[in-house]
Amino acid sequence: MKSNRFWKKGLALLLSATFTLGTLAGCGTYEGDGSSASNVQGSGNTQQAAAGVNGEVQTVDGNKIVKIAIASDPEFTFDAIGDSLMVTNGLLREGLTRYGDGVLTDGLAESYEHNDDYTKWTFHLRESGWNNGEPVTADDWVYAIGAMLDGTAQLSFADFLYEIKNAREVYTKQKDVSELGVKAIDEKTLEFELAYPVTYFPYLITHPMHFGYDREFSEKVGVENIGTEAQYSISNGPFYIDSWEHDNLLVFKKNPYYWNKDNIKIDQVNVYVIPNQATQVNLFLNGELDVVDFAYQRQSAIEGAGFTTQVYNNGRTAYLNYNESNAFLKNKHVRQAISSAIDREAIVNGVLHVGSPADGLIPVGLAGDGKKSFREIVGNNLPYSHNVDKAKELLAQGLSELGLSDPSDVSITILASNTDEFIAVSGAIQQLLQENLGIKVEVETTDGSALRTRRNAYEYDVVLQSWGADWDDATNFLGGYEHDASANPALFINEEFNDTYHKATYSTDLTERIKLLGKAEAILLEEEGITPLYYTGQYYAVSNRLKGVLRRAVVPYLDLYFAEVQ
Amino acid sequence: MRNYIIKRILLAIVTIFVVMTITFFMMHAIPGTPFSTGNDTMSAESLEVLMSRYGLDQPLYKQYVRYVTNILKGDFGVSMSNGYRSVSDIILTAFPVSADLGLRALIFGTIAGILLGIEAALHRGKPVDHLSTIVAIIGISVPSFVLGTVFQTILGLGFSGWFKAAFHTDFQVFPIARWQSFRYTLIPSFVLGMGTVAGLARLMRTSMLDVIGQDYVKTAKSKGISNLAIVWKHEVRNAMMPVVTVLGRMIGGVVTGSYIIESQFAIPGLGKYLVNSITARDYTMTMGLTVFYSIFIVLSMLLVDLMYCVIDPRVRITK
Repeated sequence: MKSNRFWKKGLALLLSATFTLGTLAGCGTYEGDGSSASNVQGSGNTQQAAAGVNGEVQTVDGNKIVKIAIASDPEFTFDAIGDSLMVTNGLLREGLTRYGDGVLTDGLAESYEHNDDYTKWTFHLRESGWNNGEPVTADDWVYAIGAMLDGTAQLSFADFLYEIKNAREVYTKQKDVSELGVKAIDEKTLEFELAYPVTYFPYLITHPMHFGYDREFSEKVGVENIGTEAQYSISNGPFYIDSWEHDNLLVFKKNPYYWNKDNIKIDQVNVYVIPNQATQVNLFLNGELDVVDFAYQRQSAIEGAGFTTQVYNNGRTAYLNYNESNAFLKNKHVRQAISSAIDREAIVNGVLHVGSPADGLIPVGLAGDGKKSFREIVGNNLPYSHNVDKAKELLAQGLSELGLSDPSDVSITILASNTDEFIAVSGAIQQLLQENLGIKVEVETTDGSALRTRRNAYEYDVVLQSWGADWDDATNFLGGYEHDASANPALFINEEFNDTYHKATYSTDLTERIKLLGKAEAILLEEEGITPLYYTGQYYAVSNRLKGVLRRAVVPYLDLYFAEVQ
Repeated sequence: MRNYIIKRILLAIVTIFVVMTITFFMMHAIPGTPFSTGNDTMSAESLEVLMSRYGLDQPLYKQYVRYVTNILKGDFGVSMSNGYRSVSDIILTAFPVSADLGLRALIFGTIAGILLGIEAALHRGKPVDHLSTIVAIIGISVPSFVLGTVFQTILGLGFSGWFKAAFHTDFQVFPIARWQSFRYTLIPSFVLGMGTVAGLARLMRTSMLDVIGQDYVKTAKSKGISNLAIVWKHEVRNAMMPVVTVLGRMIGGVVTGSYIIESQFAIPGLGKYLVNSITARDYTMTMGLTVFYSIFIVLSMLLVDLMYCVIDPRVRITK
């Protein structure tokens, strides 16, 4: 009996020990011990010591390390596309132009000029260097853009470069790369020859795809390796990659050869790879991150901890895209009825809790003629806003044209990608259309790739989707609806739209051009080629010690160029 | 014995080959291309050029032959969605982390689960038995992301925050996320191991109760053998058999990475790659992982079968 009791006690003790200590039984050890990162919570009482690679504690004088998070391991290849990169790339490589505090300013080019019809642009480069000490030269652009197009380097989206003369021909192997419209006149003079007038070229080239890369370095490490490891990457921007542990942490340090290095106020950026947004918020609340994006549900928690929350306009418009070969949707009035039946305020306030109702396709904040934004010049362009009576009237008209009378004869399926946002919004639209119009609406969600493939094969009735600005110009949104655009998924074909858009493309009067684009937008929306719903917005918060963080509607969405640690 | 192992390995190669073939054709049957995931308006012409750059415009059987040939040469190709890193490089970097986390979770889960099961069986109907039921229900029914969120918030943010304030220190007792040192592994391994604890506790309890009622246990008691010896030598050892069977499957599942836990705690493991590669139609990555996982799982099954002989002398491998 005695031994029995002993045994029980022993087992119970062991059991509780296993539970309390939990994973102490783990095998394998980790090198070093990551110290907790500096604590800046609430009071703004900053302390030093930040966790470095493998827990090596780095105490940097004056706390000039900024800690940010990205959701996935970034890509630093020549073509540089991907969400993460939209943040980090702006820190590493610089374009000929860049965004300043609000306006477009000079980047690696100290000046540039163009010919009268905006088809030839000449850039004069600054004295600046790659972080390995090599100078920035015109050949960097000739090399990088040529290598992407001729297949030497990876390129996931060639269409972005097609404004350059012969880019399309080089990509499809009809012409040699030597005929490409990018030329180095001398070491510091770079010339772009374009296929058509591009008045917004200085905006377009802020996109990483138009950045240069050093030829010698690329050939030395092998083009196929570029951007896959820290040692296979170089930078000509304010920072370079000092170390990179995949899926974990990238440490960016100041590029000593960067022309404007004296005006960069931070010494180091730690970029953590944190896939989960809720985790990012917890790390932010614990002082381990300086900037965080979050969903509206976390707003009170973040404000409760003493931070100011803000919303930035991330330059994205959500809209319904119709298949105009559908039996019901081919009728203009049915499409207008759908637009009138949707209460955009209700979607924004009741479902999203962020963003604003759309009054056009081009989102607020997108550039216009250089003085005013597009929406400021064009104004409200939404012809069929929320009006249930009007919607019913339009539907009745459309149905009679189709030879139908009962709204419940109409049955459509909304296809949406399976993200939280679109699942919620498509459900709301389903409800609004069924209640206000009495038509049958089904919702189908699928993943992004399958959705795009189905959309491009026209296997859908209505697609709920959103489009964000890749470059800061309305053509980015409207170009897709030109009749010969190879990616016009809506099957929207309208001669008046084409003429107006074409005129805008060749217009060299900046304000006139925007007005023409506004007119094209009005035609698209009057015909309900698409139905804009809302402009998205994103909540974010910044730690109290960091000032001068900029959020933008186009890349880079997060800009630390002017950031200062206090 | 040697013949048996050789036979099993040959069989394993066939299995892996079959899995690879099925996955290859299924993967290509899903609508979408690796290049239609991120870009909304790529023109058909550009897509064509890209498809031919990667040889994806060729007939499927040719792609298959090329893929198998490359695999036999040990070349898994480059991932199309991860900055063009090579697939084997990604697996070699991320797998050890997943395996580390998985083994911690498994060791914790196995020890805690088995002990809890034994205790519950020995004290059937007593509080510890109820405790084991509660733990099992939580472990099985509460999804790991909920447990993860709860522990991350309560221990990582709440308790550790209080600790720092109370002791005026920077020391983070339970880090919120990331994978840096032993402290960082505590919450994720615990959360990941909870499923194992739950499953094994129930299984062990049932199995133990079955054994406790056996005649040889009564015989042993009547011979006056100490309780400790009865429990360890007669009961536990016999009750372990079904547990070992399940364990084989669990090793495969746990060690190859958890999408949810790794993403929630920002652990640089392999878990997310399989899910993401399928969403991104990253054919090379999906295939590489499939081959890798099937090798791993087939081998762990083999290992379990061999372990039977060690644990239970009655099991003998015959021709």
